[in-house]
Amino acid sequence: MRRRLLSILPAIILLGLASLALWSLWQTDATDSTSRDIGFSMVGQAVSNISLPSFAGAGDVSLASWQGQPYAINVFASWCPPCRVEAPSIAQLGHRLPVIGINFRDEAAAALEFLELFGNPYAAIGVDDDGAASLALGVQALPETLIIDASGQIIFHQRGPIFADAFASDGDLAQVLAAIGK
Amino acid sequence: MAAVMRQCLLLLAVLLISQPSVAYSALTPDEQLPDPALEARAQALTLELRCLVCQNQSVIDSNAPFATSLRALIRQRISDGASDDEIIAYLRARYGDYILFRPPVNSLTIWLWLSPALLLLLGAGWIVRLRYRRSGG
Repeated sequence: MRRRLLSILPAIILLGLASLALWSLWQTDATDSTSRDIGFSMVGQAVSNISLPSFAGAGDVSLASWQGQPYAINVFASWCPPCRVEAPSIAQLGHRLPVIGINFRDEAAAALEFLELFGNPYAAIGVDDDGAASLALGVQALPETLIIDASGQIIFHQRGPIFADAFASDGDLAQVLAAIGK
Repeated sequence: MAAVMRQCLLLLAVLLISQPSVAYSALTPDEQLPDPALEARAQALTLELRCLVCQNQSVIDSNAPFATSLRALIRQRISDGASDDEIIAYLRARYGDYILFRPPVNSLTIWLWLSPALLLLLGAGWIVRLRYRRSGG
């Protein structure tokens, strides 16, 4: 009896491990099916001091000049379909606080067309041709949105598009905006 | 029948052996640094980094904008004199340990590192036991 039990022990252990793996797969699927969260965000860190050429053509867009007040950063590109989807949400965000746009690895003409089609909610737009400034902000894929408080700390970081429900009273974005009185 | 079987096995072995050992690289010549020593460092680093938007590719394999930007950033920082550790620290602060293909050993990852050895020991112990039983009775 004992011998038979021993002979099937590896199979039992393997089955146990396999079901554990399946279970954890199912767990992650249940919690975030839409987000591309890598389990790590920039929340709690100070925002990097970034300066980019202005999309408007004159001078630079520097995050330092927005220091001292809450503001948002939205990284977008005309080639990014989810950026089109979230355009109404960014417009709504722009009514609450200044949104700095970072145009990531884009062509100027295409970006201009994008802004004409979907509106321009941005207080200023910096052009990030090589993507280095976006990487300094911890960006991995477009669109990404960060909210910076008056002390320069990142208090919200969304990887992926912002949908309308984020502004509902129990939405994550609404709660962050309420906390800074916006 | 046995001959066919043997041929199939041979074919399988050849297919397995001929798998390319070097992964496809998306690196283009104009991205590369002129100094071969620095370029070798940049390539070694990008092989160790996960392309976060194309998860089973490394930063050197991928054409994604994220990977292209990261390759440019690594070469820029190497040219500026940053060490490998400084570059990895910069990226870990922004993307966490997940960007590293070889995660550091800590309380969270200890089972990840130990489980292959434990499973191997368990299997070896089991085989030894079986053989002992068979020969000793």
